[in-house]
Amino acid sequence: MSQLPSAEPGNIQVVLNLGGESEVADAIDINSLVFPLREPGRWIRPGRFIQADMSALPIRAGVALEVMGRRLPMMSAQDRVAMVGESRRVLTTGGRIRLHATSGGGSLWLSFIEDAGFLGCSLISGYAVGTRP
Amino acid sequence: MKALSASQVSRWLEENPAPIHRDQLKPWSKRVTRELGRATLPKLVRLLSDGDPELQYQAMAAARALGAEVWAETVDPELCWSVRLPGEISPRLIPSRKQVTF
Repeated sequence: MSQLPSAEPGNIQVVLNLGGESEVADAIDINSLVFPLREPGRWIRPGRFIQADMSALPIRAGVALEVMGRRLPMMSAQDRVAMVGESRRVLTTGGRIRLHATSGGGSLWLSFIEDAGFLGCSLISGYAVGTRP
Repeated sequence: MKALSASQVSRWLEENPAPIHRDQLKPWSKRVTRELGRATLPKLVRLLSDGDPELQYQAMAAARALGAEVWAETVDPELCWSVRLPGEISPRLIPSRKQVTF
């Protein structure tokens, strides 16, 4: 697995968890709250949660070291393309994408991250993983 | 409305997955009410227990659209569901038999 680029001293290392519900300690959860698994009042962390559509991230370009998504639900191919495209936009050069679908693990996402131009795409521990060029 | 069989409910959920965009929530919920109906709630509860993880998620969404309160109480690999159907006073816990593994 490629090493993530290290953040400059003083910079915050931004990890975005698409559809996240605070299960990843230091990530910022991006969740539309359309159908959260758990009651939002039990997991929303002030300062670490953004209510947003994962295919239209309200995040400026090139700031995230990692964009991950675990337990991503079924969605259309068009939404997958949009989500991967947005992930690429917000990732910094050398940043990593790591996606897992509830219905098919990482394999369901692999071709989408390859088509979006991510490098070194592979399946690692159930996730489709790639690096932003 | 004629009650759908368990396999028909599963197929409907696979062919009409819950939306990920907020603006599609209301029309999808209306379809759930019209095409599945509250008579399917026991089958949706069964799917929470026995369905594969994606089907569990879809059953959770459909049950909510039909007025049930359904929340995951814990996280995988030990996920269980808290379910309170319309008219029930207290929620019950339903363990998921098929967990997401990483």
